[in-house]
Amino acid sequence: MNLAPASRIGAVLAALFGASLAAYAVETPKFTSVIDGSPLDVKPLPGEKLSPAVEKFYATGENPYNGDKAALAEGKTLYDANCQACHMPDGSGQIGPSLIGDTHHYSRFTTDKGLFEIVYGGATGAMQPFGKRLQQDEILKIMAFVRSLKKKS
Amino acid sequence: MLLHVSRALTLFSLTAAVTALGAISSSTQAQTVPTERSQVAHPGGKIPGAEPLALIKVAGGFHDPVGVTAAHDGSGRLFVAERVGRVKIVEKDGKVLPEPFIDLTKINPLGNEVQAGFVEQGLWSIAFDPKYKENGYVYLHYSSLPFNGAGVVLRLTADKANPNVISADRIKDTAKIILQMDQPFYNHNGGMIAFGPDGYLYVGRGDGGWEGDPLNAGQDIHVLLGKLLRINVHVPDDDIPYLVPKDNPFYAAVKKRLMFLFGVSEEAFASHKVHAKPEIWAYGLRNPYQFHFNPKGGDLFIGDVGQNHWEEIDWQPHTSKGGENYGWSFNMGTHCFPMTGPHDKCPQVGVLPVAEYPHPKAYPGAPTEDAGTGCSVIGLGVANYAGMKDTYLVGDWCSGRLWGVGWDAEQKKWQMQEFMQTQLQFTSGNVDEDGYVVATNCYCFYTSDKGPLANPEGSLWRAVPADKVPAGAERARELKKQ
Repeated sequence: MNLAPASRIGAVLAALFGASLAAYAVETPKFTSVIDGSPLDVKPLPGEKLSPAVEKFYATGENPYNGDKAALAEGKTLYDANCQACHMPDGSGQIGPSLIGDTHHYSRFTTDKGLFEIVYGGATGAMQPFGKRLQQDEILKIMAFVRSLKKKS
Repeated sequence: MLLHVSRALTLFSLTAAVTALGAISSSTQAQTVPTERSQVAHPGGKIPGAEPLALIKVAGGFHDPVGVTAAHDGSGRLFVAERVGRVKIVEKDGKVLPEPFIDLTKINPLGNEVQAGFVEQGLWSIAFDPKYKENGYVYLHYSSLPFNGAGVVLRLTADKANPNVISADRIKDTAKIILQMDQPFYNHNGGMIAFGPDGYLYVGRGDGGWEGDPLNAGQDIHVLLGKLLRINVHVPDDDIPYLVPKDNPFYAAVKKRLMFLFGVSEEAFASHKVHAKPEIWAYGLRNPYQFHFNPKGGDLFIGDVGQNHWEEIDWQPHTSKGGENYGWSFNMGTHCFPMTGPHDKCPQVGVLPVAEYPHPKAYPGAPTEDAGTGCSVIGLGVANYAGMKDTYLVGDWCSGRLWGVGWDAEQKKWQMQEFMQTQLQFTSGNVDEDGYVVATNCYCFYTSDKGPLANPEGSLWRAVPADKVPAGAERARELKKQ
């Protein structure tokens, strides 16, 4: 596949300056907004360095933190702080829809790429674009925790 | 007795006048307040003639914007209240002036004048005196830090030499406290203040907070909590904070009089509530965060934020004499409070709303629904354009939906129509100098609150007909099924 120009430059830089600049070579997948399908601009927050997990997620479309105990623990802390007021501690939903049911408000919820789009880019109203608040690594951890709620239910 | 008779005569002549007017303009006169629960509108209706709307971004970069108003002084400026305690000016071309119009965070070296520690606290609203061009009076409503969260209505005087800034010194020099109201808990403060067409200042006050109205403030006419207040701030002597309008519903109730146990009608006995607060215009409200007068005709809409299950929109005609009881905490909308299930039975207390909508769970244990739901009604302003007449645009802080609530003259009933669902958490609205409804959004909520200066920035939007979107304008994204 063709690398985007920025990635080409990044690849050259990485070759010149070594692995620490490898992050610039990672291509961001095409994400779309769940609200209207328009392109979602996914980029690091000021000062954010994309973690290896995020890069793996970009490459594979799957969340490497799924089932990872340490990540689930951190994911729970983040979920409690950001999500449980609307979705409840067990994910059963109240102001926000259930995260553990068999049907989903947005069908893309079932894929990691889709769930990322919902959380990062936001859906409607108070389902904010959490990409403005949280680092992408944190979002992946929350996502892993949400998946674990479904297994528990 | 005499008072009662003359009031009846006034009502009779007013009715006759309104009926005569009705022959010329039918829509305003045809609206009625529901008398039965079945007459209250729910989402899913259609406002006759309403055209599609689009929300166009006017300006951005605000810190938790929670109030907006125009000065109606011909300048075209819009004034956005930032919860932390600042008012920003948006010029007619959409430019946000970097220096705040008013900055309450900087008048006291010991700290902010405004308490904004909780997401419901802060500077909520700014209102311009109807004679602003002459007197320069501007009014603010906020939770006071020095007075431990008390609701303060403060009057400042703008500087003719510097129309875009009221400096810290000028704030201190001209500050007049109009109201200072104890607030027991940090939520349900109310928010909006606005002048009615009668020239009086109306103030929305919540029931004091916590949940479930623990102080029974809604029904308690001895307290200012849970009320819409109406006061006269145009006083002959500035040492007087305000006067109570003689036609406030409880003005006569508190008048001192000799006591007679006999020779007085039951109705007269019922009317002297000797310890009522005469500032009260309407009661039985939980948290009237936004309310708006129709620029055409002066009818009043109130968006009263509900608790776990229902949100309500109240309406009263411009001929109202006040004293409406909107039912909290006996009812929320047409429903019982507290709700225990789908078949609760209880009396309906007071005046019904004209529209209501549910939270995703409409009662305890209900399946979670999505269509037509929200969790915090935010009245935005009355629209008389885009095919709409006297239609109250309301947004929701949680679901991002935008509805219109209006009277269907043909079917003789209220309608509630959804225009769109957006990514916006609506926080306030008003009507600009050209008659368009403008609205603010924040990225603020109970959780994830980084404080009034550190949340992602909010914006100001204008509701325009969808076929009149200016080229190059940024349009709020609307949910489209994919």
